[in-house]
Amino acid sequence: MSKSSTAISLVLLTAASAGFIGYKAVNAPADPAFPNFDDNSGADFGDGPAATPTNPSTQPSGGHSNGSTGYYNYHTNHFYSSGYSGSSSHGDDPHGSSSSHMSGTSRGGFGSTGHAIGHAGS
Amino acid sequence: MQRVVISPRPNWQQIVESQGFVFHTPQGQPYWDESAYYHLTRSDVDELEKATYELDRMCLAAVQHVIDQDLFKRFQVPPACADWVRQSWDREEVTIYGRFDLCFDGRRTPKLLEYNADTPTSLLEAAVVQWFWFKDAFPDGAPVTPVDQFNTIHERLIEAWKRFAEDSTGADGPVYFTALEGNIEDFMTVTYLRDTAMQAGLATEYIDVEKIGWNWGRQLFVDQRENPINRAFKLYPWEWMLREAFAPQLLRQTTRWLEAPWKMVLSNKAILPVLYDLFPESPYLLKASFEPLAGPHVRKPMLSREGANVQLIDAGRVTAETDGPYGGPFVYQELAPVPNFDGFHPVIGSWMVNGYACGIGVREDQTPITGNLSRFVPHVFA
Repeated sequence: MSKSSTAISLVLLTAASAGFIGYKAVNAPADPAFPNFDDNSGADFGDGPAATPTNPSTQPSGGHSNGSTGYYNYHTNHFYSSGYSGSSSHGDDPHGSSSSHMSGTSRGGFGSTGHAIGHAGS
Repeated sequence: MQRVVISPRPNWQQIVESQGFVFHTPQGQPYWDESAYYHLTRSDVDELEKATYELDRMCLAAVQHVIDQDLFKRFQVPPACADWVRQSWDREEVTIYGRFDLCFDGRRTPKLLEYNADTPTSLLEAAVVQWFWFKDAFPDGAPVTPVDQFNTIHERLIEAWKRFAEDSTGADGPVYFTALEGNIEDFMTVTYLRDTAMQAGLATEYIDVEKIGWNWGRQLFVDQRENPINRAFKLYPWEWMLREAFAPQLLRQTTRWLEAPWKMVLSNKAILPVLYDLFPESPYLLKASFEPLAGPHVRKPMLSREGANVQLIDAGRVTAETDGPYGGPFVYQELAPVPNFDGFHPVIGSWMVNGYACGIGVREDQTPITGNLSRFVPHVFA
């Protein structure tokens, strides 16, 4: 195989690796954690742990948000907007709340499965 | 194909760490192993290259079949996501990379074990670390001339990013690279990919996947400074993202993700029975089914990683199995003859980058199931 002399510069890589010398990898937890969309598991689209609002001052007042960004019920084919609806009602509005808006940012909506398993590569 | 014992470089740890490979000995067990290498022939490499191209062709046809026949439920893709996946396919969104895991011993035809189409790792070691090992171990081609390594992975990655840059010109801002916080292998793999993207001229940023935000007012994914994430490479599997809280936001399609959503069809082991149904005469496919097979076979979870929760079954009896966090549904695949080189069982990882079969990595174990800690052993061919 031919490689040009400048092909592998890896500047970023070596800089990043320098900060990881001596790093101890996080061991994967042993608990089974991965749900399936089969008929019995109860796992649903977007049904992971709640995302966390990191800018609460911009969250709408009212409502009894559980912090979730909503989820899809695999069995009923409905989206559920559970929280942050801006309404004064409990958040489980199966049709969403078109009249409500919020300007804040939620975080933590990805990563929960990976933390349970420990390694995302394959 | 031979397994050849060789003396490791005296200071190999320092050498590979200088190349960014700092996870060479995880949990105190060697993962990178240069006390041996695999010596392939040119015809071996030709065979692997041919098989990889043919498997890629069949896989693309299988994606079209899954879409045409609306088999998403079989693949555990929620109905709400089907159109999104279909649109990604119809737009022919580019793919950066994938790795076919092949059973091959140099004597028999390569057989597909599985396709890591979404989040393959062992990339840095295949593209970079084994290349520099080769240059050290075989300076000027000695002792066998001409000797070479099947490896243009790095160059093809840079080409892939250039192609992606052209394909995503409507998306402003840097390409974000994201991985699970705290896992060094994942972090260094995306850092390597980020390095190749930068060499292709792209602006890049890194963000832990947990720190990705969804801005409700602007209705888009944002980084920690509230900058929009318009393009992102994720080393985080689609099947997990679809089960997590931000899943509905994915359907807003405000971010161009890599690997593309349509790759979730290929990274699912349900593709194995579909491939076999479509191409039963292919010499590169093992018989596979959604039901247990009559003869010796392997049971694999449809959605699983790194050889976890695999069972080898013979005459109804489990002869070997691995632990892990995954459950069913399962697929069942004919048991391939396991290559055996002095008690070591290698699996060939054949890389498909930017549409090119461009290199291999070999991982071996002393058990017949390749797992997360199976060792990476370099290779040459002559």
